[in-house]
Amino acid sequence: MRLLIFSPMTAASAIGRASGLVARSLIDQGHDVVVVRSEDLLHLDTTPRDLGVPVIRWDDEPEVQKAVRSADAVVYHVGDNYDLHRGCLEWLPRCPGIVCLHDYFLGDLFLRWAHGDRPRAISVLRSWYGDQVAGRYFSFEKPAAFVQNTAATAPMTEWVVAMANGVITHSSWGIARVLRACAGPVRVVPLPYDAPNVTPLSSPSEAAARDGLTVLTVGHVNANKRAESVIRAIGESERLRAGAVYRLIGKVDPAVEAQLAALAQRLGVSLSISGEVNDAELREALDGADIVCCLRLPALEAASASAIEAMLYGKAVIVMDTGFFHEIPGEYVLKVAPATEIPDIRRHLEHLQADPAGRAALGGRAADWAARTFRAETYAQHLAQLAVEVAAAAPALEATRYFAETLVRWGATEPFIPTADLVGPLRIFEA
Amino acid sequence: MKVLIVNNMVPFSWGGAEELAVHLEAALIKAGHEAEVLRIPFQTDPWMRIPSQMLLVHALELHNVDRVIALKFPAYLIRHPQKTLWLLHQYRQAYDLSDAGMSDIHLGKQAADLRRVIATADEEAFRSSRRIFVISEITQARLAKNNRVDAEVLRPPLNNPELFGGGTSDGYVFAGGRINAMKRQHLLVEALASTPGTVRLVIAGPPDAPKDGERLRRLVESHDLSHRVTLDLRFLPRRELAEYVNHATAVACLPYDEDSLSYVAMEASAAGKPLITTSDSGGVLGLARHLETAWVAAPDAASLAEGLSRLGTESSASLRMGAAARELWTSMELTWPDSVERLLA
Repeated sequence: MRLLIFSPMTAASAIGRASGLVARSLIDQGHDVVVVRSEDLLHLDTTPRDLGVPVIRWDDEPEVQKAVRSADAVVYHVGDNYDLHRGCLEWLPRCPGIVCLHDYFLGDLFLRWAHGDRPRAISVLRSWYGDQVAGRYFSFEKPAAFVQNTAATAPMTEWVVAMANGVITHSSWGIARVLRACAGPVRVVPLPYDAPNVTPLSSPSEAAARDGLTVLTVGHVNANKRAESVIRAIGESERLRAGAVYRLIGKVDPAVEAQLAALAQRLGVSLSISGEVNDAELREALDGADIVCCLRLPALEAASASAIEAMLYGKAVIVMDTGFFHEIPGEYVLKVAPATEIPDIRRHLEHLQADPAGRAALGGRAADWAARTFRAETYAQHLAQLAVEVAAAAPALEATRYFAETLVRWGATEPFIPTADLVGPLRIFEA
Repeated sequence: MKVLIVNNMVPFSWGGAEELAVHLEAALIKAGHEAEVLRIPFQTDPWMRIPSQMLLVHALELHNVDRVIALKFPAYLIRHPQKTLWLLHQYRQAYDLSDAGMSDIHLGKQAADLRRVIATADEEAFRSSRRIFVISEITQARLAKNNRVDAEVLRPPLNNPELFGGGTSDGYVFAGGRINAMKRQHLLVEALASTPGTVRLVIAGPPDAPKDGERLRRLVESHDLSHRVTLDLRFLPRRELAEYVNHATAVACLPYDEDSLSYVAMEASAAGKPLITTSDSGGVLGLARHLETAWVAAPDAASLAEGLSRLGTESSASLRMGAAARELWTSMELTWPDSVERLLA
């Protein structure tokens, strides 16, 4: 099978890393792969990951057209980042295919896309979420307020998956919106991820013998990552204040950095903010960490690459008991309830600080489970099977799309379309 | 030229539109063309099933066809680059009948959505048609009002004109055609109860639904009119229908706001029979001129009773009006060759 895969290829993209793993597995399984880089124009000149397959830019119209014509399946890796996924939005409506959905919240992606055509964006909002939501969608000035106010009511998941002929996503917590909007087959498959040279740089016993406790959070430092809560939890505990260092790795705005630094200083917490790092530095940071905090509120992702990576590295991981993290079995991570967030974080950190052996055992169990679960080979097999299913379903999907587009052109609104009276008689292609 | 006539189909139901389609087919063949009728199933109840039927018609693909002549909603949504419409009427339940509260499609958001869907689909079909003919000025005016479309009037000719030559009166008023509430045969029965015992009524035609026929039967019984009313409730072959018309004293025809001249009125006029109708019967009034060719009553039983009394038994007045009706009809010069020529021009 020949697959055309739209994905970011820049080294900074975790999705690019995951899609690269899948591409390699597909090749290992005998398929042909061509990659279309999906980054926005300003980011297309960065050096791509070397997958050993042909790579095309999404804005190379003739080459992409040619590749589409010769492909058995077109796959789009879509996440909530316009800089990384613009090319998917340019091609998905013209050339529907399989969407690998990395985030259940696509508000930031939509917001940037909406800059180009606000009336069309409002029409999309109206059709999926109604006039009231559409009316206030663009009124939130601060990013945190935007996420807080739209994640539950208008996550924009439907907007993307409605254009897809099939969807693979990585957890079940947001699947209802996918099933509602995508007419094609849908599968939940664990996100593939790896831990290069996973043999730890230092052994658990060496780590336990180190002075102090290093707590790490990886990713864009914003309110959703709950760094402030971790600082407050450490600040409340004399033992943690005395023995723990909290390290943040990832992009951070200067104002946020200053705010967190001031808070840590006031509470007597040892805080280290490292900004963005390369793969080697990240690996070193993970190796040096005793505990990794993967806390998100609200839940936005279909899966967390940083949580998977931390588990693969054998680290004790603390997660928020929401979304993807809620679906991780309790024996592999420690969970924090949103309602008792800071006390829970403190309790888990103190427990892990006091029990190095238990910490190592938790990390060991997590590493074993993650290595068995988040596998590129499995993902590639599912993707190839889904491509066959999508091809079989294509006539029905095209008919569905034709009927829906015609009805919308005739002025039907969303609540009118999915009624049983309307849909029932049109199920002419069902077996 | 290969001409496909596209019409709706309600299984086991046959009426004016079906007659028009088969006679148009025959006229096209007589004019040297190849012609066929494509009948597309359509049901209006429940009305939420209408959009799916619209979509299915719109999805059909036609090949090996030079011209399409489409007659009704939603059949005219079929796509073809050389499509001509000869509209009997729009789906009035979504337009004027809804405004008048005479349609189910007037309450709630879904009804509003359906009306918008029908109007938008109509306008798309009108834009994609090479010419639009309508069967009456009334349909023409509705189209202009509802959809801002200028259509040309092309009245349908009478089918089998040779059958409607007229004849001696057997002393009854004849009401033919489909039986339903909109055609108001029940009003005639109620009016008959207030007329002299010499007036007799023959109602003949297929009920749209069993309840329509049952309603009439009960009405006749409740007014104790069985000896004066003949109910021949079935689909009548053309010859039998013509016999009823040719031997009537007068013909009653009182549809609500009829779009066209109506076949019943055309057949009656061709046979030289005076008409009994009502002032709100729309296109019928093109042939029914009060005291000249017809008795045009107010749409109530009392007023109709007077018309039945005046024209229900043969008189010099009924004969004069019948002759005038035939003269008016003949002067309209509606023929199939002319119609075919205009439709294909």
